[in-house]
Amino acid sequence: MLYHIFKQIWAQRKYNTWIFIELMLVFVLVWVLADYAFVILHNKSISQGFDVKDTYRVTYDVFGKGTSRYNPTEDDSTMAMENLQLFVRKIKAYENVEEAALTYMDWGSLPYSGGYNSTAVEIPDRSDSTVAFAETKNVLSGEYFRLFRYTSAKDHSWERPAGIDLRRNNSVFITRMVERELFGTASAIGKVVKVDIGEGPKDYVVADVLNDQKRFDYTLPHGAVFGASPLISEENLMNFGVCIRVKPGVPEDTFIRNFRKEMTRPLRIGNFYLKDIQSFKSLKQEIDYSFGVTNEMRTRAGLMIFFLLNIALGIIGTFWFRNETRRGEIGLRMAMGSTHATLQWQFMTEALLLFSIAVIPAIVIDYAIARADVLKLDMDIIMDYETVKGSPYITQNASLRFLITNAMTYVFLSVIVALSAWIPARRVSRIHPVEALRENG
Amino acid sequence: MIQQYFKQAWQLIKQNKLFSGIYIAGTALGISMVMVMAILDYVKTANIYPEMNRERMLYAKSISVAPVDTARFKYTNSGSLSYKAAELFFLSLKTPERVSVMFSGTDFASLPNNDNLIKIKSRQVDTNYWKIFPFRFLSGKPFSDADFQSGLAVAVITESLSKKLFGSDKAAGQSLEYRFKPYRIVGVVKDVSYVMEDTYAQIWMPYTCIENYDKENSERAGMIGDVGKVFLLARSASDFGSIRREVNDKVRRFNASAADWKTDLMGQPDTRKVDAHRYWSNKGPEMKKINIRNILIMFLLLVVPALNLSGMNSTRMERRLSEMGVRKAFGASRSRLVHQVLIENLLLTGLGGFAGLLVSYLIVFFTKEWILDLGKQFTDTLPEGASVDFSISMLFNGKIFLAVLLACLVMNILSALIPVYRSLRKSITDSLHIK
Repeated sequence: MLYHIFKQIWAQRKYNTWIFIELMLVFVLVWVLADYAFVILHNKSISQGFDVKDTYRVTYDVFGKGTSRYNPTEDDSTMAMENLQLFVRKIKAYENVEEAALTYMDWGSLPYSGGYNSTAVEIPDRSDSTVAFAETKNVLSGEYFRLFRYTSAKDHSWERPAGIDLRRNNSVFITRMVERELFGTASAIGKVVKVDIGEGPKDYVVADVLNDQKRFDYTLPHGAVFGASPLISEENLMNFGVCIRVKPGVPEDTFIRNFRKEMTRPLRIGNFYLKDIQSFKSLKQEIDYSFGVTNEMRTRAGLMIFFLLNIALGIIGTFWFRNETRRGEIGLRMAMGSTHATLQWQFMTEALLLFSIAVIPAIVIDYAIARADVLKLDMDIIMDYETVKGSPYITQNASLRFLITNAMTYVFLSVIVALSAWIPARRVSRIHPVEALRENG
Repeated sequence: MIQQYFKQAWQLIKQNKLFSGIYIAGTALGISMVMVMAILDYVKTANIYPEMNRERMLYAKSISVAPVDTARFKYTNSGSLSYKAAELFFLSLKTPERVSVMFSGTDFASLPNNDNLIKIKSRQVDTNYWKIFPFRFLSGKPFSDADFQSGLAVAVITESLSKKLFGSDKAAGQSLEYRFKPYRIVGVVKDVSYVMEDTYAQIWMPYTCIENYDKENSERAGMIGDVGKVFLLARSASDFGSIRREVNDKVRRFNASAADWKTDLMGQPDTRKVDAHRYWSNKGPEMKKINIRNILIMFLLLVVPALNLSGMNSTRMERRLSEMGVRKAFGASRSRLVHQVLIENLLLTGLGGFAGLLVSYLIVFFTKEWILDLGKQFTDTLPEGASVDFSISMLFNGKIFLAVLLACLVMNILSALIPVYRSLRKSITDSLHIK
């Protein structure tokens, strides 16, 4: 049966050329899009390393000397610090707020901030000079880890890192990735590393190892180092803010609206005033948007829909008119005993077979594209088709990734092709055999 | 003669409603995507209120500073221009008609002793800004040279901000607070669409009333700072070459006598089109790559549907071969047949193009919040309460219609030429035989 259909496809090869080229071209284009989608989805499924659900960032500002609301009596530096503490206490006491803490906001220390600072981490006095690169994050106090649920790799709790004071014994936390790169399978806790967390390269003791974390949802995890931030003083007031965790289940817009309405007056303390409150969820959306990821995804989704519509239209169009021309043949088949169902199956199979043949040169083109390394994006998402030895991630195993993405594309497009061929097939198989036979020619 | 072709073509279309329907749908699909790209390009580069002089303007916004002594300082830095750099390289130019410097920011507007804070976008400008961009004033007027020189705290606000604060658009003479500093309103202008990146804001004040606008950064020869953009209005586009030469001359002279730091403007000042693609401060846009990429995309958007249409045309030709055979037997010349088929195709493509244009309007309308940001490296989220509105003139105008026509023509040629040619090469007997 298959051989028979194959012969038919070959017989009509002149008319099949156009749809063949289109199927091949669209397979390649859809594969490029599917490959991107695969990488993104794969990266998204990796655990974040922290949790920002129900967290908000509250920023304050200070009425400066030229402004209408400045109060000179409150401008004393001790007073300013006391006022700030009162600011934080009032927020903590607000309804539904579970935790509130003063946090350092500079240099990319907050989750989903646009800023980024990286440093080399090495083991001092080691001869083989292994270096791990890590993002640096500065924290004011242990409350940061509890707030954002950064978990220790040892016992997966956030209480452990929250309870350690980084300012004692010049301590830092590193993540699992850094530990693996520098110490292999040995534990890094208690060992000394040389790293620059903002005070120049110095020696620090590793007090704990945290679980791997990602900078964005759609990138692979990379190493991070957590160290103490500068203490807060009158000079660096604006580098800090208040981060809060709210009781789960409280809707975001209601909370923000009520907070602004009820807390704007009470938080007018000395020269401090409430500037802005934003959820980390919305900060994350802004970051994704501003780094162009959201747009990249939208463009690709749009292009995908465009190509699929074209394929569907192409198959429907080609097969519809071809079936009209082949009415005689259809009538003959029906007269010889084919049922409606068989006829539909036959046409769908013909379309699928044509598609499958077109896929062969398409996969060759895909291979050329993967090798030519043109699938680059100007961002942190690693799209290179390179196999990284020892990496646990599928996206860094080139052959497996190639196999999976092509298979995904094949299955997906087969469904579209089969459905598109089914529509005219259904219509034509309803013709009465006598009418069809009459059109013999 | 042509009229007869059209009548015949119209008849054929009506007779084969299904074929025509699918053909028009296929064409519309391709044309609509190309049109969306054309509309987006138009909005970014054509003259739209209040940027009515884009075709004779040049823009600059970043600068790169490299160390002379690479042993002492390792890195090249880049960022926005500082006021000092803007003065040195642009404000002192003689060739342009006008030069303007602009800063921008976002903060809160409020009325004195009122807790209601409205987050707004602000621009700090000079008096040339108002002459380069012809804003429409609903009341009052822009601040004067005297206001600007003395750094008076005056401001121009938009109609919608005026209505929000005072309930009317006649707010000239009233005051408001921005960042809790008082400003006297001297004029109210018609709202600017969010789509206009260089002029969208809710409040404009002279930059001379902002402290430290010309403060020099002690590092890197004070070349990097916070200037938002520098605008150069040329007398005509043919002056662009001489303006660039004058700018490069100034840069060269600065670098020749520079002790520690050399500057590089990376190809600026840019035309509007290049400026729209310049995202990074440390390197210019690779226009050749960008143009190739855009042409490739447009090509794909037209070729993929064209393949569909070619397939359909082949089938159609096949069916009408017998008819062609009869005509040929009766002496019809090949060119007449070709003309007829092409006109029929043209009509279908034309209808498809029209449908495609309508679909593109729908696409732009439903995705207006984010569609202009596609292809940008860095974008800003829409501020609260702002909406992206495409005005009628952005969508209906000569350039857009010309683009549709061109796209249709290309589509037509791609999808009709080969099938028609092949089927007409068949001999008469072959054609008659297929019955």
